Amino acid sequence: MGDKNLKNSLENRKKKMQQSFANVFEIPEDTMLNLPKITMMGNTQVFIENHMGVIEYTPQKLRIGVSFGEIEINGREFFLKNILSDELSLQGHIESIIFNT
Amino acid sequence: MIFWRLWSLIRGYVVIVVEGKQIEKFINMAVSRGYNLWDISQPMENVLTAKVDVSVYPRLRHVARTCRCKMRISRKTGLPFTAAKMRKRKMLFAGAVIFFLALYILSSFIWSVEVTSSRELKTITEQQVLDAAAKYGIKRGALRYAIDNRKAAEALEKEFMEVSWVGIEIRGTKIIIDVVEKILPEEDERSRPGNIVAQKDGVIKEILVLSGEPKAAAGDTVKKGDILISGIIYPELPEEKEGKAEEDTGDEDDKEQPEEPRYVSARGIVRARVWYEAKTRVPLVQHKEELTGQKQQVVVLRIGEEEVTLKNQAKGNKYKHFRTDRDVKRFSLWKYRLPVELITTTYHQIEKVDIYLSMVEARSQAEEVAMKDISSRLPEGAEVVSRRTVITSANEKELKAKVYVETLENIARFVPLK
Repeated sequence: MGDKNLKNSLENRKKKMQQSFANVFEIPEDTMLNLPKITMMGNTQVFIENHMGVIEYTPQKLRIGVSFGEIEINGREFFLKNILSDELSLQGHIESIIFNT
Repeated sequence: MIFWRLWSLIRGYVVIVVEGKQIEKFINMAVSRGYNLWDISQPMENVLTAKVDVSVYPRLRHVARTCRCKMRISRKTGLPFTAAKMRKRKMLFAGAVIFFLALYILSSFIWSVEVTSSRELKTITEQQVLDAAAKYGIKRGALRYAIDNRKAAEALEKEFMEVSWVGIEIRGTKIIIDVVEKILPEEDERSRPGNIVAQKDGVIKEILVLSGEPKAAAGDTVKKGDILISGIIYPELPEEKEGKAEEDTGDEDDKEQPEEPRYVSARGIVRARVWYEAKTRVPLVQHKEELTGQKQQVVVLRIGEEEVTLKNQAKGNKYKHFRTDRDVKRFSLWKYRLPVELITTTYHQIEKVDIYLSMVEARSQAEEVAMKDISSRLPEGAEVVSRRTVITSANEKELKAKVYVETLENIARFVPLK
């Protein structure tokens, strides 16, 4: 997932170790690696758990900080249905989701 | 989710409008402090609207200040606000209370009493039932809860001998009294003394006397009106036997009976052979009109006196022979008839056909017509014994026939004595 373009090789190794640890003990990666869990309902709703705050929010764009960087969601008529400290739900016409690491 | 929404409505929430360049920061800060924001939208750039709990709002002020945002309330929703409004408008609240109170009070009275029955009431009138019911508190204006309908129904049943069952149902503010009348055997004139006479001419086949004295026997030819079974029983003249029998029964009867005849209601069944005849004439050439199935329609809308042709297939009706069919549709608004009519005239094309009947066909047709005529005259239970057709005259134009039918039927008819 997020281990493609990591610049720091040390951090890369640490991540890999954590991942293999998670694999061996069959622990869900999102809890182990603090990864966000993204659930989509078609192209009209997105739920994101484990986020780290809103970076940018306009009706056409939502950027959310996550453990590995940020998630950028583009679309139209965005509407933040609900937001809590670690989860949010977004409504609107979603056109693309980009992971910026 | 819906429960949560309801809960927020009960607790009350405000819609806030936040203006500023750092609205993302505002969201983050509010969220990280555990303030719940929902339904966040951006109507304009750098403007944010969101919903937030009433209790949270004062604390959000601080957040707005640190983000250099302006914040204001655009709308307040929820129970606390509605209640506050209510407090200001006491009369409205009082009105609502009075309304429900009035509704409750008015619906606890009986407003109408109705009498129903599956059959039309014959021996008693609805008014009688209503009057009687009023005695047991079932009347207009009575308190609904005070009515014991089972008890009242029982009392009504006892009060009217003619009634076999009474049901009282309270339906809202209406009481329905369901009455089932006893079906009494009809007060029959048969219980009066009388004779059995012949209904028709005929030859008696068998006679069964249930009561009375037979005046005719099997094989007799009787005319209409002849007494078949007499209701007047004259005492037998010289009797050794009866004297003995009378002694056993009693003395009083013994004295009166020799002088005066006994009057009874004659009863019995008299089956007799009865003849019917019917004459028919069947023309051998018959003119008939047959529908060809072709038709044309003219639809006219009449408004007041004006007529507007909506559909005209028959441009001046091209059929030589036709039958017209007019259908007028009137329009009405509620109860008022509008001066608007839709008239549909249909022209059915017909063809005139001459049908030439053969003798055999004519005969069977004559028979059919005659039988129809006779069977309409036959009483119930009549049994057709034989049938005969006689052709009385026949020429190239028409055929005349007579049909004789012999039946076996009960010709007994009761006639009361004067």
